[in-house]
Amino acid sequence: MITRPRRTEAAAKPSGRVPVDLVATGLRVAYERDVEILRGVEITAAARRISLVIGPNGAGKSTFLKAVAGLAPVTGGLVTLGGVDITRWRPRDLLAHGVALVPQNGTLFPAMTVRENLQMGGWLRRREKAWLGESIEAVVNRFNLPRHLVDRRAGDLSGGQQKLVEIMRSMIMTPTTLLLDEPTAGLSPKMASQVYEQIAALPGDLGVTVLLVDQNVRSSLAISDDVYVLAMGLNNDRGTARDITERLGEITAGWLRQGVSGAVKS
Amino acid sequence: MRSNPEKLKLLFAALAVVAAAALAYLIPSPTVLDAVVYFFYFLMLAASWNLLAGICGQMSFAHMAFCVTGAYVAASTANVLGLPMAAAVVVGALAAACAGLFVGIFTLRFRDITFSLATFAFAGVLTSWLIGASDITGGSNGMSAPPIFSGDQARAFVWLGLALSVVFFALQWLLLSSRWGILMRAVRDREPVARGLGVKATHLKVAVFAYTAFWAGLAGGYFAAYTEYVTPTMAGLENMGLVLGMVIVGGIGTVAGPVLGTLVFRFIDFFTRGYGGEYTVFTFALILLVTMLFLRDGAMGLITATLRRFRAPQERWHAAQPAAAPGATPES
Amino acid sequence: MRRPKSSPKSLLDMQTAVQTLILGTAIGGVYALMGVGLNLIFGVMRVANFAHGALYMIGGYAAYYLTLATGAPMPVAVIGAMVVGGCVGYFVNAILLRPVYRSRLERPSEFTLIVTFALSLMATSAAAVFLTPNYRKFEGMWPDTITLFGFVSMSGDRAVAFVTALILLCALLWLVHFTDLGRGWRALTQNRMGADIVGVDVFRLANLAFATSGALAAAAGAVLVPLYLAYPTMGESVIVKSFVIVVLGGLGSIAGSLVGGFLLGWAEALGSVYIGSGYTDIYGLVIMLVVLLFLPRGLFGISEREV
Ligand SMILES: Nc1ncnc2c1ncn2[C@@H]1O[C@H](COP(=O)(O)OP(=O)(O)OP(=O)(O)O)[C@@H](O)[C@H]1O
Ligand SMILES: [Mg+2]
Repeated sequence: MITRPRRTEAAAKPSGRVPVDLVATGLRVAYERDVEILRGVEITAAARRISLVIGPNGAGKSTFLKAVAGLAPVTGGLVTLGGVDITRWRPRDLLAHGVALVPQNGTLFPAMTVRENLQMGGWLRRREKAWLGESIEAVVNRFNLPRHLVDRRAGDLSGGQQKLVEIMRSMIMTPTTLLLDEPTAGLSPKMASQVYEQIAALPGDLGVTVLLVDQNVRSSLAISDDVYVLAMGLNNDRGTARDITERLGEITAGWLRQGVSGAVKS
Repeated sequence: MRSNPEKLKLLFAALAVVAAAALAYLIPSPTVLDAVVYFFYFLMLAASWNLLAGICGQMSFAHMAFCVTGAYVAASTANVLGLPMAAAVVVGALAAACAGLFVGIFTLRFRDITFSLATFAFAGVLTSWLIGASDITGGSNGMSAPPIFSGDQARAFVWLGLALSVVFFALQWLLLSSRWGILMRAVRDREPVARGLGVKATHLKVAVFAYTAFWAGLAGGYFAAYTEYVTPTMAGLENMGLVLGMVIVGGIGTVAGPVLGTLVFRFIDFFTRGYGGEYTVFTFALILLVTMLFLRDGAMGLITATLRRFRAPQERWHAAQPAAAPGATPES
Repeated sequence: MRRPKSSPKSLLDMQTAVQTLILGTAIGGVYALMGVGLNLIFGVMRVANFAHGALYMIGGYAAYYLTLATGAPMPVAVIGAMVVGGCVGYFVNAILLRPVYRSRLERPSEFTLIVTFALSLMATSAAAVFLTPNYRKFEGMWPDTITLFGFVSMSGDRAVAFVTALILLCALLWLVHFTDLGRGWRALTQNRMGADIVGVDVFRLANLAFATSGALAAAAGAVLVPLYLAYPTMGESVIVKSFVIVVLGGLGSIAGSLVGGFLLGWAEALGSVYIGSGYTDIYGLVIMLVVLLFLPRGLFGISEREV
């Protein structure tokens, strides 16, 4: 079990450790002037639920997560967390409010050991050494990471193992809202299903709100509650997991039809 | 940080150059003439560095090394081979271009800071060698050079400097309006993308590097012929900083920026000259710093912003309309 | 055909070589101190700090004026210089380089390059304007010439400089490898986005990196004043050397610039004995160019593409 966070300054702030809705309204992002990657995206990650975002490559899914996490330039719209405007907050302030991101590409520190990497996950509470040791221990057990890997250099791990360590590190960050970008990309099927199990358990066990972006649509739909479909930087469809599962063939066929012509019904 | 050059700015630049020359013609005080010659010397350096750094995006620290190459080669060919100085200056510039080709092939594989450091190292090697190899170069005492003109030196040099600058800007205008101009900016703004689209980025950069080295060498030869002397201090870090500063203060990546920047610097130098070079450098470095912090587009940025404020309001309103997103039209 | 070792000529050769290496090691320690500081900033922020030589100069002057005004002994002067250098480094980053962290710059590395370059020009010329271009000197802790093994003679101040450098280098290594601050710095060096998402405060850590780097540069300047004097342009050749070390050891690698510092010290010492003393500055630069050409990551560097 992961220890629940004690009361810290962060917890004392509004919306600190109570699970709340994360709402993005009309979110616009442009990395370069005049090239909008997101053009008004509406997504709600309801508290203690798993919300899934799917869409074709380049739809802007990763960009959406990055924008929420303060890593992409937001040019318009609003992101709120339990009614508090968190648009354009820096990652560390978001983290203090319980919003953590696991990006798509590698974000481990390659020359550090796995243990040090996990310790970095607890950066904001680095003074509480005892707590940090305990939660690292707990996470290693929970994810069944082979013991001998803990003191290896992270850069020497296989791609899948690195991805796993990244997810473990995000657990150390003790988020109340967890943004996951393709957490099982590169994992073996067995490992992937284990990770999905862990994710599925997050809302119930720890009261974590999960916003999941995934290409592995079938498996991720199985654990999700709400589903959003993005295409060309716009909302394309939405529904409950069951609803979308039924219409899945139709939706993915739609992605193919759009091709490069780029016309999207809005 | 950069805005596209407009014809208006080009006109402005030309006007400024002519005005400087006219000023020199009207006020025949030797101090002013001297200052104007220095102006053209620095203008050629600043404008060519701007082409390399501002338009092609390569922050080179070897520009003054090419300048000094041109100066030394001009002086020594004139001294040793007895070439007339005017021809020697051209030989010096060509030598600088060759040096640029060599250094460019070597350093332009690198990007950003690594490139800056590599050019920095080359410049350092050259300066140290110029000081160390005193049997060839005269060491820190430098080398004397024969004059180009007899008689009224300063005035002739003003005209020569004006002519060279006009040629530079005319060629630059041709270059920028050809497809080379687009390619250079593409390499500056998004080199990986430009490469992906099939631009031979390294070839382009090496060519621009050699071309700007040519102009730096020409400026060096011009200066050597005017002062009839060359020293290794010309290649010092301080002078590189001044040239860089002129471009930034004027507005990097614009056509008229280097002209304005050089003008600002010459005015400061003119009025602080009596106190010693440190005062000039100090004042100018301070201006450079303030520019970087508060006016990142330099004097040209300020001028453009002011002009825009006086434009007709409707025009501004139209410009502020967001462009329709290409995919936003619903499927029919 | 080798001569027997007892031959006086070969013994003399040996002694020259050993003396050269020892002198190279002594100055190499101070070079390493400069290089490590510069590389710390390089790793943490991916920028080149051209004002590093100016901090070295400021350290030299600070130590000089401290001893002049208060008659403080050299260790106090060095510590005072470190405080001054640290503060200057801190505020340079916290105030002048603030836009790099707080607003979206198109080219942050270019901005830093130009601002620090301008600062370095300003510091050098300001020293000449306000403190005059005169050469200044204070008495070191150990002005006598010391003799090692009966044939290596070197100034005691050189030994003092070396020992000070070693102490500070050990302190820095401890800071980098055994403290939270150091772990944060390493995290920033290894993966900027990773550091962002775990909540590392880039600005604060960069400020502290600048302060540390400034203190180290100032210490290097202070301990060398008794040997090489203090004057406005004293930082100019030092900044070149620091860049050489950084490139040699690899951008962002602390261990690399440690090794690089000693390599440069040896190269200069050997070069000036066996090739010619007029070109001391060139040896390092030529090594740097060769390393760049054949080993663009340096000896221990992080990938060039990341930089
Ligand atoms: N840093 C960046 N600068 C400029 N453009 C970017 C940047 N990051 C992403 N883009 C562009 O934004 C668009 C959306 O990218 P994004 O990574 O969000 O897609 P995605 O939906 O996550 O796709 P995938 O399923 O392949 O991960 C792409 O066209 C990409 O080229
Ligand atoms: Mg993605």
